[in-house]
Amino acid sequence: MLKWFIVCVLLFLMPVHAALKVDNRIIVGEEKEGIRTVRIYLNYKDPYRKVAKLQTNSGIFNLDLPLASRWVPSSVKLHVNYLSSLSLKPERSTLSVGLNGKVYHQLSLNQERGKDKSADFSLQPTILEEYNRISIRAIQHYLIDESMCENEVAPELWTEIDLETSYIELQIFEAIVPEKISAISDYIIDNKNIHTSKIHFALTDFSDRSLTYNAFIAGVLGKMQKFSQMKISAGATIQKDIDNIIIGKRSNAIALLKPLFNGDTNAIMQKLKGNINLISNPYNPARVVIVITGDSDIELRNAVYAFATVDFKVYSGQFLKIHDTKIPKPSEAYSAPNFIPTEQKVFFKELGYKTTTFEGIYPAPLSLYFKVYPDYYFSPKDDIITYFNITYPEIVRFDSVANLSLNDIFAYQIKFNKRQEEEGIRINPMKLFSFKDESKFPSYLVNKGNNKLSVDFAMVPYKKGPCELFNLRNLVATVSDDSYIYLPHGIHWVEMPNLRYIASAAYPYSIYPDLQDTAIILTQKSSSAIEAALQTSYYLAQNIGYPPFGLSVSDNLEEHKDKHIILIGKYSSKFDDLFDNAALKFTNNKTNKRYVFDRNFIEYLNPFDSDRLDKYKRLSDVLESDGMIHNVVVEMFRSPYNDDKSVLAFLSDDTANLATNISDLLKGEAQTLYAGDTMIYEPTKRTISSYEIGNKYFYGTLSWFDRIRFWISSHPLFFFISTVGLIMLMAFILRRILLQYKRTHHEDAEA
Amino acid sequence: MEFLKKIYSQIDDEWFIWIFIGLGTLFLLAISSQFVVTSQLYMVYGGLALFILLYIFWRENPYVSLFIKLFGLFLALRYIYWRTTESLEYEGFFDFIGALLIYGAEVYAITIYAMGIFTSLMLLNRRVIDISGYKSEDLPTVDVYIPTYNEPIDMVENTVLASLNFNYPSERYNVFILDDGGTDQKCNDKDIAKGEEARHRREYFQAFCKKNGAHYLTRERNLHAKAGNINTAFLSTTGEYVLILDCDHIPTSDFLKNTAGWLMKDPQMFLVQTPHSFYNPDPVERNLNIFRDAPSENEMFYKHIQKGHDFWESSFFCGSGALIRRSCLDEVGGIAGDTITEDAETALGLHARGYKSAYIDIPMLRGLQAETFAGLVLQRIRWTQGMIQIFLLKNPLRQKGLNWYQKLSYMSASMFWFFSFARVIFLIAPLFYLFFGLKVYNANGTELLAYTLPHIIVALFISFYLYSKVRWSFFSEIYETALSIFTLPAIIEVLYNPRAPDFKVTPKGENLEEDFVSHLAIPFVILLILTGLGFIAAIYRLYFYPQDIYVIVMTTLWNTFNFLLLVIALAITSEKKQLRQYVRIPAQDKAIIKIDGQTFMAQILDLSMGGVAVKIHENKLFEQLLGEKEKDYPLTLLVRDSEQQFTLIQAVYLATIQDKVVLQFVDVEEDIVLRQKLISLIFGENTRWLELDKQERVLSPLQSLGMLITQGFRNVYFKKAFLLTFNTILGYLGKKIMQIIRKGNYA
Repeated sequence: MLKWFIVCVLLFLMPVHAALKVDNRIIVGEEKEGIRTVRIYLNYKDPYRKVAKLQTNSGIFNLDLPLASRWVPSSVKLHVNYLSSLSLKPERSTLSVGLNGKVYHQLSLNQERGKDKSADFSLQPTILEEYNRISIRAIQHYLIDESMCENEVAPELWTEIDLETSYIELQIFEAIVPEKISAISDYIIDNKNIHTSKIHFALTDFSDRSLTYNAFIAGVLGKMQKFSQMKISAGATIQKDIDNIIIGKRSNAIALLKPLFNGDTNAIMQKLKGNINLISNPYNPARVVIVITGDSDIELRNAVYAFATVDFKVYSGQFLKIHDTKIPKPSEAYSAPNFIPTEQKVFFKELGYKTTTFEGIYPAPLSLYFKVYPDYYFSPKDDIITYFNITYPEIVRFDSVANLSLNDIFAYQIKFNKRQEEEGIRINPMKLFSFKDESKFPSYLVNKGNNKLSVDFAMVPYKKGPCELFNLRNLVATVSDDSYIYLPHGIHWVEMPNLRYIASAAYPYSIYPDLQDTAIILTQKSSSAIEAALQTSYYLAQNIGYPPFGLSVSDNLEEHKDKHIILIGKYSSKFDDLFDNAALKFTNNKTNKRYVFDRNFIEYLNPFDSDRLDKYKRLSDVLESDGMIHNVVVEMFRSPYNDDKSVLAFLSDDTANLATNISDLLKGEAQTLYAGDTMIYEPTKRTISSYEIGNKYFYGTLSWFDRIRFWISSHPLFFFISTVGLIMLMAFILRRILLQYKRTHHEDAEA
Repeated sequence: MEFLKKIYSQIDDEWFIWIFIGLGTLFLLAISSQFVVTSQLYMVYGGLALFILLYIFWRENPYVSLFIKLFGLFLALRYIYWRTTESLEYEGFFDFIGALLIYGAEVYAITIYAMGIFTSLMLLNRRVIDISGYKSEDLPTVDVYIPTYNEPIDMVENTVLASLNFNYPSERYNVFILDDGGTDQKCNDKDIAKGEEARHRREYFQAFCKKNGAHYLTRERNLHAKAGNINTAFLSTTGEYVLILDCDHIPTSDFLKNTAGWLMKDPQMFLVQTPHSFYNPDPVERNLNIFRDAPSENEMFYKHIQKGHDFWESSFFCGSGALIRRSCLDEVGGIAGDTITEDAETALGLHARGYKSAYIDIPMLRGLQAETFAGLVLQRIRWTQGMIQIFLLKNPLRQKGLNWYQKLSYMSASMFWFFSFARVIFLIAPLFYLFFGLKVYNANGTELLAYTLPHIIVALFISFYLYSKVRWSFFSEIYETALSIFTLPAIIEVLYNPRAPDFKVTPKGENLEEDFVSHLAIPFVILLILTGLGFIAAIYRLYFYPQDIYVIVMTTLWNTFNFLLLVIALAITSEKKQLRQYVRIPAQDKAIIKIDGQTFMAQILDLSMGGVAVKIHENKLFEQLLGEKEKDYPLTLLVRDSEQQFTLIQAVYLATIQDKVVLQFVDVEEDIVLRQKLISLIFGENTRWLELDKQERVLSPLQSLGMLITQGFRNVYFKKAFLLTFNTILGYLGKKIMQIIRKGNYA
């Protein structure tokens, strides 16, 4: 018993230590004779979903699959691994595959009595559209005789699709990118991209301004490329095999472009007539170079910022001249487009939802994603309100429900019967009901950062008897896009540092969406560090949904002391002061350890606290390991220059791979592993270890008075004692006031 | 320490007010802070532990008293803040209505609670100003008004006789019977018998007054009830002060001596009010058999609340037992008559003009309480309607001349009478859930433990702390339950038409010759049945909705409490016979008994207007002598009166119970002189009554509840009450059915 107890305690005390998933859900193969093989696993949207269970007599799994403009498919194959219930009768049970509403293949289910099966379905590549929906439907029966009674929702009726191993495989060749400005949004920053694309920033110079412009454009790409990742590289030369971006004066751009045009300056000049130019790569017409340029500083600046505001789709020319650009005013705090506001209705259509009809007994769920600023503190007494506008026919029985979950936690049940009886409004003679359900659930279910609201319908038809067949198509419910979600009033107050907030919400940088109070500081201006900076900018803007007009990139800390600092590179002693508040400090002393722990952290340790000692030992082990030189240390702490700002450091001695490693860390997959205030990424093992060893501080916009209240809230005994003290003092003073009153109003009234 | 004391003494008083306001702001913020369960648990249970400690060790300390009051207020306000912000949820229209009703009732209860604490912050124990040094001619003239309507003649006579006995120069005061039962209107009543009776009454009183030195006044018409009667009398009398006595209120001889001083001292003083005491039990006390065991219902008001009002310069006129400056009344056109509680209304008007009032907590008159529950209900309906009329027509907040604290005091007094709303809601609220599943109180188990339960306990504790000497715990709930069902419609009537209510005289002097159940028991029987069915509903809910166990348990406990209240209320409507005409009061006077020429020294044990119980010193000799005599054998009793003069009273021997000899006075009804002697003896000095009123026993809330439940179950006539209810309902239904049948036949 004791042994188990100790094991449990040790497990509890261990730091978070997790490995990155190795396999990618979208695999783009090497090009062979102009053809690439792209394999997209059926759980590419939700890698943690292992299976799709098709239930009832008609279960369906839908997968939305956009097709990037650059991909021209030559063949399409759907490979499905599945397992059906032993009870299914193959004579009547089928698995069908459809695309965009049309069925193309079907096969009998359970022919081999409960064995795992796989099937390949070929589809004509020409039937693929820009946006596709692949449907796998299982029609399932456990009785052969149609005249016998069968329960449509019997538990025996199931088929599981293994989403981990099922995939759709495309043979594609890459389309030639037209030499038009519109290709920037059609091909380069194509929202239909679901895979990680590559782009190279060819740097004209390494000045702070140039780096800032490059970071800005990287951010604009991130903002425009809403869903997929981009692998950014940077260097002083152009790369012929991928798309390039050049930002700089015309003369500098010409110099960089020369290798592509065999030094033909005139040819280059012909292609650089505007301020934003799209040049086809002569070596590979599927690749382009975007050149953002100008003859003067102002012209260049206008061109750079115009990149964020121009609607490229409407321009068919090869270049674009920018005469003037209106740079938006510095953004207001908490106004990032990707985050939903509090105290106002956010309609589903604003979250990208379109009015949808859900069909069947267990239709595919409605899922909505939204972000909430991590520093919102909602009072436990306040609820989140969702307001659903649902229409359904009378055939949907009274015990039908829609289960609401927030972040996969069941939160509320919409009951169809109640509304029918109490609030149902008959909207037409065909007996359709429309009701508006205002559901409330506790605010603590809201995640700090990413949130998912899902609705699972379970609809049952009215039947006169057990053997009566019903028309499945009658089981429908429409949720209109004027449904909304409403977050209550929240105060901004959060305990820092917490790396998870960076991963889920780019917090605290997202407070000002234009990153006006954020600076990326490079320990040295190496290509790798610059790549990492651009990747970071891309990531932040993608998370925030707004171009980083205010972001600065520099190697000069002095100029940006008052901002949030994101420090990237190999540690340098010139940043010693910056690490004043860090729990883990670094030193360049090569003979001794390359790190020291903050004195506070050492004092925080004591021989009787095994938890802290254990943390200390594990962290020391990692830091002293042989592979440390390749590791990336991520650390967050309070800025020593401004109490309201933080420092985030990405440090590694392996400067060559810093950008790749940081890119790994910024990928969605890694973000789920962010925690604590300190992380160590070991690229060789692909593991992330996170620790909480630093001092805590609070961040937000609370008044001093609210801060006191907040502090008191975590000290109930103090609250009680101080209240008793307050009332004692009041009693003391009140008595004096009463006696004074008595003296003046009832001078000798008493004996 | 000395330094601090020095600073403290040098701080200006005004600064203390500002500091208190500052602290008060923090107090309000603390109320609205920290609504996490841990904090709340610390606060309420820590607070309770502190209360208990302070109560055990320092309960009399004035600072501790203020601390407990403020902390109790703090916890109550935190509770209602929590209710307001976190527990007001509903799912449907009926849930909403139910939740709103309960919430409204709670807000009302806490408002009254807060006002009660304000009124109780400091009590004024006003002294008596000695006027013995004044010459007779320097004393103000006083008119003693005894208004009467239809009360028994002998009741009025006793009050007149007692009034004529005041220790005040007789030439400086006059006693007036203001007879509304003998007006011209009454004497000329169309009903010949009634007219004859009125004429007889008038003639009798005229003769009585003439014989005894009092004055008889009547008027043409019975306009504006008691207020009109008094105001008419003003036209015929000239005294500087007016003493108003209800006709059943027998004053002690020192009444004027003890009260006139304050009016003489302060020309701005318009009123000196004294407490009302009673020599008979009210129906609640009698029917529960707790008379003189527990504090009387009026003690809370007269021994506590009115003293608080006096501190805040708002002690008000209670209709009787008050000396009033005539010039002030003249200024406002006499006794006010817009409402049926003319007394409080008059005081409110004069306070608004800047006049002052005083309250002396010495009981100097004895009256009769309503004998039957129906009489009590009638009386309380009048008070309720009157005070609500004041709230509506003369709202204290709108009276410009009042100070803020006077406004609060009067608001407290008038708003209290809305209690019926809250009590009825509390009675039926658990049934909302048990019968219909309405979720009218939204709290989970933890919240019930953290907020609801401690709120109830703290409220009980504070109530116990403040009032345990003047009203035991749960007595308020009992009175409220018994009266609310009947006063609620009366409130609605006033709200609908504030000028509708008429003045209805409380019947007094009724005899109850046998036990019976009042017709007013019917609503309680119905409620009791419903509450009982609530328990069955609770079992049903527990079986089918086990997940709601916390709510079911809480609601069932609440329902159980209501059930017990209803049983006790039903016991109150189970009227017990009351044949005793005179109330005995304990005494310790010496007496001499003469029988057949022999004299015996005796000690009086108790006495009444009808007789006396004595203990004879030479008991054996007396028994020997008595052994030869029969019942009703005459003897003479010699006792000292209030002036320490020997008085001779004729009596007869009645019985001997152990060593107590009971004697009955002879010809009390007919012999006015004897009655005057007895009145002087019994009502001559208030010290005799002080001894009787002495009530030092304090019961804890649990003991008090236990006692009430025991007495309730012991004294309730379940069978009679249920039979009465069923017969009434069946009778009513039968009547209706017959009407329908008849209609059918005609058709």
